[in-house]
Formats: sequence, C-alpha cells, structure tokens
Amino acid sequence: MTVSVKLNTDSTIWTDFKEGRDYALSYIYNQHVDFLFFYGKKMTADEELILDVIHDVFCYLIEKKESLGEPQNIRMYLLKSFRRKLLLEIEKANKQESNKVTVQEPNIVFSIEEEIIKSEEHSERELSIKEGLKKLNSKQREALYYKFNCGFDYELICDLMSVSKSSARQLVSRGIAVVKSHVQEQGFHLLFFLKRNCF
Amino acid sequence: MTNKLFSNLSVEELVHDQMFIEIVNGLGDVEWQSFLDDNSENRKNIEKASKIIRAFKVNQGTLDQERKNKLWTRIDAYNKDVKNKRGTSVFRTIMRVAASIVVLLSLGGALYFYVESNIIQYQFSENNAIENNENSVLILSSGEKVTLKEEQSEIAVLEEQEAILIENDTIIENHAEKDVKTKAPRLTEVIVPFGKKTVLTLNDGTKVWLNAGSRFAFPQKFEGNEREVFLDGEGYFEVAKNRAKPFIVSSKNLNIKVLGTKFNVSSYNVDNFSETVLLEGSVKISSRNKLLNEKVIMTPNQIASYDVENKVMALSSDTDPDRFISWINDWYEFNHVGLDRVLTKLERYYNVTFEYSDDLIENALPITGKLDLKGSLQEVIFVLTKVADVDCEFLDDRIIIKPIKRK
Repeated sequence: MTVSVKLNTDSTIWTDFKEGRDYALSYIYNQHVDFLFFYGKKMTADEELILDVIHDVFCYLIEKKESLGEPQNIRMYLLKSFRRKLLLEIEKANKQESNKVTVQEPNIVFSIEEEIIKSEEHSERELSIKEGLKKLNSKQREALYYKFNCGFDYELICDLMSVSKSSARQLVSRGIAVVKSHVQEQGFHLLFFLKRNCF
Repeated sequence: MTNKLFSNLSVEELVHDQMFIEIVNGLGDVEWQSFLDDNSENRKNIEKASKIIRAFKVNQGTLDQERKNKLWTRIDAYNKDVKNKRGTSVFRTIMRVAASIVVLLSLGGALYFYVESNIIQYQFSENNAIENNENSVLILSSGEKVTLKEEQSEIAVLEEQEAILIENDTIIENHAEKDVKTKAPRLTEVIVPFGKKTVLTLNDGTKVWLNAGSRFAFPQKFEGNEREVFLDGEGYFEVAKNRAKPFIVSSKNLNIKVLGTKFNVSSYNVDNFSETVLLEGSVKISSRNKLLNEKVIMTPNQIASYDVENKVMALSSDTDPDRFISWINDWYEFNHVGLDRVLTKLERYYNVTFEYSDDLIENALPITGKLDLKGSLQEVIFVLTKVADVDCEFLDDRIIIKPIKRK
C-alpha cells in the first residue's frame, strides 16, 4: 500500500471552507498570513493597521462564506480584498494627519538591491544588475513581484493590476530584458573559466 | 516525468513558464541539482533562466509567532461566534469520526517532523486483534503470542539478551527472525485492546505509552540509519536522542520523523482525522511528492490537523497543549471539545459503547474541563453528564446518552 500525502488544491480547500470546516479556515490563514503581512509592509509602515486589515479580510470571508465566488487562486483572492481594504484605511489615516502622500501600489525592493556587496568578485555583475533594476518603475516592479514571487500567472496579474494581459506581460518582459544581458555575461565568464581548466 | 517538460525550452520561454518559476522558487539545493541532472541537455538555458528569476527575488520573512497566534485567536473567535449563531451541523459530523494524532515535542532545539510519500505501509499480523483480545498481547518475532494480564502492562526490550522483559519479572527470548519474503527481520507487535494501556521501553531507550485500542510494531534492535516503528492508535513517545538516527513513527496516513524528543502520536486507522500538537521546538511538515510551496512549519502551541479524506494538513493554535497527553496520567482534559469527541475517547478507554443521536450532539454544550479516569466508569459518566447537561441510561451492552427531560 502506498501512502501518499496529497496536499489540497485551492478549490477543494475553498469548498470545505465554504461548508464551514474549521481546518480549511486555519489552513488558509496559515498559508497566507505571512504573505499578506509582508505585502502590507510594502504599502505602509503601520503594522497594527496591517494586522487589523488582515483580521477584517478574514472576518469578511467568514461572514460571507456562503455567498462568496469560486476563486481560482486563494492567495490572489485574499490579496485583492486585502489591498482594497488596506488602501482605504491608509487613505483614512492620511486624511486625519493631513498627510498628502498617496500610495497606489506596493513599494517593491528586490533582495539583490538590499544586499550589501560583500565580495568583489560578484560586485561588478551585481552592480550592473542593480543599475538595470533602477530603471524599473513601480508598475514594472509590482508585476515582476507577482510573477516571480507570488506564483501568479499573467491572467491573475492583469486582474490584480487592472491592465490588459499583454501589458502585464510587457511589464514583466521589460524587467527580464534588464537582467538578462548581465546574466549572459556571467555565463560567458563561466564558460571561459571551464575551458581554461580543461587544458 | 514532468521534469522533461523543460528540455526544449529557450531562456525566454522558461522565464515566462509558471511551473518553471515555481520549481526555481520551491526546490532546495539538493533537489535543484537533481532537477538539473534530469534536464542536463538543456542545462545552460535552465541555469540562465533560473538566475534571471532569482534576480527578482523579494525577501518575504514571516510574521512573528506571537502576533500570528494573537491574530489567529481573534479570527478563530469570530469564526466560532458566527458558527454558534448559525449552528452548522457539518462541524459536528466531522468531529464524530474524529480522533487525534498528537505529536508533542518538548526539549529545545529545532526538530523536524515531516510527512513522506511512497512509504510501504506495515501490515499488522492480525486484522481484528484489538476486538478479539481481552488482554494486551505481545506477538514475538517468531509469531508466538504472549498474553499480558495487567491493566497497564510494562514491556522492555533487552538488546543484549535478544529478549523482552515483561512486567519487570519475566524474560522471554525474542530472536529477530527473518521474514521469508522480504528477508528483513520480523517485527515484534504489541496489541492493546480497549480499556487497557501498555508502557514499553525500546532497545534505544525510547519510552512509549500506548493508549487503549492501539497496535504497535517495533524491531528487537534498530538497524540501519533510521529507527522506524509502526502505530495504529495513540501513543506518547519519549524518544532517546540520536541525531544520526532519526526516529520515525509510521501510521496509516502520516510519517512522523524526529531526531529525539518527547511527542505524542495518535492515529487510529479507523479515524479519518488526526491532530498533531507541538509543545516546544519547531517542526517542519512537508510532502515529498509535491515540489511547491506546500510546507507547513509548526511552532509551539500549534495543532496540525490532518484530514485523511481530503489529505490536507491544517494548522491552528492552542494555549494549553499539555492536555493532549493527559491520558498517560489517567485523566483527560478538554477545552471546548464536542461531546461526541469526548465520548469516543471514553469508549476506547473503558471499552464501552455509547448510543446517542446527532441531534443530541448538535445541541450539547462543548466540554471544557478535566475528567479523572481513575474513578469508575459510572463516576466519570456522572461528571460528564453534569458538565454536558445531558442524561444517561446504563444498559447491559451500551450506555445511552440522551437529553434531559425537563418539566
């Protein structure tokens, strides 16, 4: 007999959640709470506010579970609702503090941009990738984040960002182009190095 | 193999491919190397594409456990409120058939616990052993049966003598005989019927408490680089530390792997629900047959519930996980647990049958409190009926639990 632990697809989890099975709620919470929290941090520094909004998102789901639709991707579904609510709250807070800063999209910083260059060997390549990344605007960054960190395909990305599918792809392609040339260079170095060693 | 899907793709195609992206993000170093080996003909493109994808990595981090638990408590409370208002019956039906897998890990340090696939399931020698035996039974490697007469029997494996010590006074030889088919040494089994318990010490010093209605199989001596035992039921384990030789408890649905610590596993084959509770340390649950994103990290005071039917692991928080092992000290502690679940536990512990309607369960109050099991069954039932605000009737072969008729 084979024991296989098949972890569930979003759709079965969702159905179970709608039927009120407790495991499904805790599963959804644990699978996505970190993601939502860190997404929130890209929009605001107010962590209490972020936690409150996550709470509201889940309460809304619990309250309305019978009438909710069938999302293709739970993470994206949560994110959409979370982002909308968070933006409203940020706006509210801004009004109170007569703060004019308006946030529309998350402030995405890639890890490579945060890292301090340690070894000289890598510094040149990393620097040039960094230089390239600097050219990316916030929309492009957002699309790249969804594509390469969140597991969202273009259909979900264009839905999230309210752009057409082709422009979602374009936003991503631009970023790829920026990095591709630098990666290629490194590939040549490596090849050269290997050849030398063969002799 | 799905891996071969990528053997003909260009760098451009790869970086746009959602499945490929998930493989790049989801595989550990070792798995990634073997993925590269599987796709060696396209290695150059794959490596280049993976470098591009990794350049866009964003540090994610995790929310600290304290705030995560606090937020969960708020959400969970809201969920219970909504539920109580509506009184859905689904929850009750699930709990009806529920029992628990409990894994409690104490002692510090990082401990790993994971679920693996493709493990051949151990076949216990008798199918109806639990129902057919009044006393606990030891089945030696040779197939010979030894009856254990105590309510709580004690067994210790004596490695040097190739023997087993029973109740601290009888030594029985137990030479590890080889199975004709598999050539592997045959395991020794313990069968604990309903109403009994057994404590056993394995040859590595690991101590195991087996709860009522359990079957357990173990080798006379742990050979190879793992210490594997098999369980159908509930057991509390105090595993002797040995980092080089992980201890694995295999049950019908899960494999639990630790390097040495204390934990409690309960996984009855007949149940379709399991629970894992962690006291201290950290635990990783992951499935081997899934590449992506499906790892569950357990931290203290969390319960991992495994739904057998849907094959889903879910996490929730608990403020007092100690109560999950209270059975070894002859009491059960419950916190907001359905009456049916309490009754199921008592059925196993006392070897009795309760009869009750779904309606009753639906209307019964959740149980919170301790039940001292050292008393007689009657005493325990009496306390329970007071707490749950129900009535009971003792018949010869069963106990009927029913609503109180009020004038």
